[in-house]
Amino acid sequence: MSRLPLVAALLAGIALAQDPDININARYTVESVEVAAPARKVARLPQPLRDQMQSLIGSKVDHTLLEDISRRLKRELKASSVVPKIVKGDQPDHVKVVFQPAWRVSLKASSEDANLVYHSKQGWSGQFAVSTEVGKNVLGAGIVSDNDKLLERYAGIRAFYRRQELGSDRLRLGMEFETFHQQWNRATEEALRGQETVPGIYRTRYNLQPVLTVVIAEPLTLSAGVSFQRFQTQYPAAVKESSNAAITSLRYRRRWEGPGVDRHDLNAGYSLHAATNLFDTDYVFTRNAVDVSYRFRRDDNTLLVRFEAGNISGRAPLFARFVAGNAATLRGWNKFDIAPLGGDRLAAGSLEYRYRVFQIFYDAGAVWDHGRPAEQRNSIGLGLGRWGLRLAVAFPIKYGRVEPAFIFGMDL
Amino acid sequence: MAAAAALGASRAFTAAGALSLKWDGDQLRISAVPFRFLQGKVLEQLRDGAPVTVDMQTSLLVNNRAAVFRRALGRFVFSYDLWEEKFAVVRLLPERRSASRLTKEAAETWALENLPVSTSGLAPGRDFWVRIELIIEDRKDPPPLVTSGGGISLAALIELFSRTSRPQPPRPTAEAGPFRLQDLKR
Repeated sequence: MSRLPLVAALLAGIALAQDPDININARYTVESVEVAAPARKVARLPQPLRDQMQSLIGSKVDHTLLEDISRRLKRELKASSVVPKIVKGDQPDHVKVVFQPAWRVSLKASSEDANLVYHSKQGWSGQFAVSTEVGKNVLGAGIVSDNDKLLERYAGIRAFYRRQELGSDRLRLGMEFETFHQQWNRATEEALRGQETVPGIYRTRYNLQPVLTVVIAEPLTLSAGVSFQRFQTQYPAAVKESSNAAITSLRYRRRWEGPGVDRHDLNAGYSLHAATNLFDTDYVFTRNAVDVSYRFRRDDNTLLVRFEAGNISGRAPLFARFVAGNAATLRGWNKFDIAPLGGDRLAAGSLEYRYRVFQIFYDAGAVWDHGRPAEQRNSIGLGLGRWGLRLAVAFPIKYGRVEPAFIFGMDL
Repeated sequence: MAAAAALGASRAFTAAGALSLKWDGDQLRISAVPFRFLQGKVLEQLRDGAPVTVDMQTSLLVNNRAAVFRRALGRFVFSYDLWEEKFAVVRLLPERRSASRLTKEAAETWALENLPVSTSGLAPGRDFWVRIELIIEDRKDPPPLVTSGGGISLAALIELFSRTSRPQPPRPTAEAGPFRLQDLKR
């Protein structure tokens, strides 16, 4: 259309000062500010953003500022839109500001539920799940093929349901169902021969896991539930066995901002699996595990420290045993070289520094069985990471040989 | 439209509907259009306390609508006073004017009447057509007219008038004619 040059000509050279009185409501004073979202989501908003919202109280309505805050809220709350609404206040010539977020009902995949990992010594692993949020309910389903986290490659499907509020926003319900088919590494099968301490392999496994989570005090949560695992053993005969356990976990997750641009993230948890005869289980054991990760960010620099440890008492099936030497712990090592049957003790840590896309890391740890000596192993590596993609080469530190492992990861 | 009678009974209106015109000296003003634009989501936005920006363009077309004789462009910002429950409107362009304590209909009319287009040089017996176009800004992502530095954001206006791939904001349009100045009541 030919109107464009005319518009440009009309407006060129005209300067107009920004006028706060364009909106007639700019003469009113803000009495209160509210985000119409579940309290748990509001509690997770960054402190500077909350401070900015609080600073609106007592000032005149500035719609440009409200739109700016809405855009930040939209990003933080992962909402499809956030609309600032102004309503009459309780006092004359005062108004209340309500930020109204909306979430679209759509299928989405979070990085927690969708990722891909390649380890040059263990092959590909990945999972992809999509979920939809209907009100306070999240329904999801996905596929998994993983040879990284456990001693087995487990491949199959999973479905989950999460109720984000159950009567109170401090109470949540989750239900997970998984059914997998297993494949085993030759090293694991050979290590099982001639020993009776560790239970044997199985061909199929399914798990039904209802969990209730209580928000004790943000950001501390306590989860309690039951895991009903049933699997079909392969040797000496194909029989169905159960491993049912009460599961409890305590998690503390906090993000805070220091002076300037410093950001800190702390994520710490303790979990207990107690498989007792109370649950009609074929395996009686107790599994304790702790994990702590701390991330510090300043400008382009990130420091990441992680530690995990655990112990098992009793006779636990293979899927419950600890593993080290994968894409997350003792990177560069092959978990089947370290302990083809895993271990009932674990201690592993990692120190990582990132500058922009570059990363260097040092991993150390050991996985062993009770009553046997723990052999500490170390590895170092470097890599690149950006936009959810990670590429790393890791070197196990050992005498005589240099056998790097290549790791590629992607959060979908 | 009853007001259309003022334009001369022999003139036919286009299918877009009737426009009501006033000829005042050298200036032609539109005083009514066959649509309401402060309604639906726009009205909801106003009642939420948010301002709504409306760009208006009035064109005089000649040569059987093949050529534009003259144009006038204005930017108006409407808002709804939450305490007085009345509408206010500010004309930012061509030059600043404002009115407040208006009903919804009066606010619409005020904006239309405050965008005159000059008829200077148009022969009284020459056929012309009138077209009015409105662009009502999308609430979600309005391009700012005024930058933080106080100047006009020309880039935003270029973007506004050349949008093709994005969902278009409401764009009511009306066109009527042919008219002759000699037939219009002054």
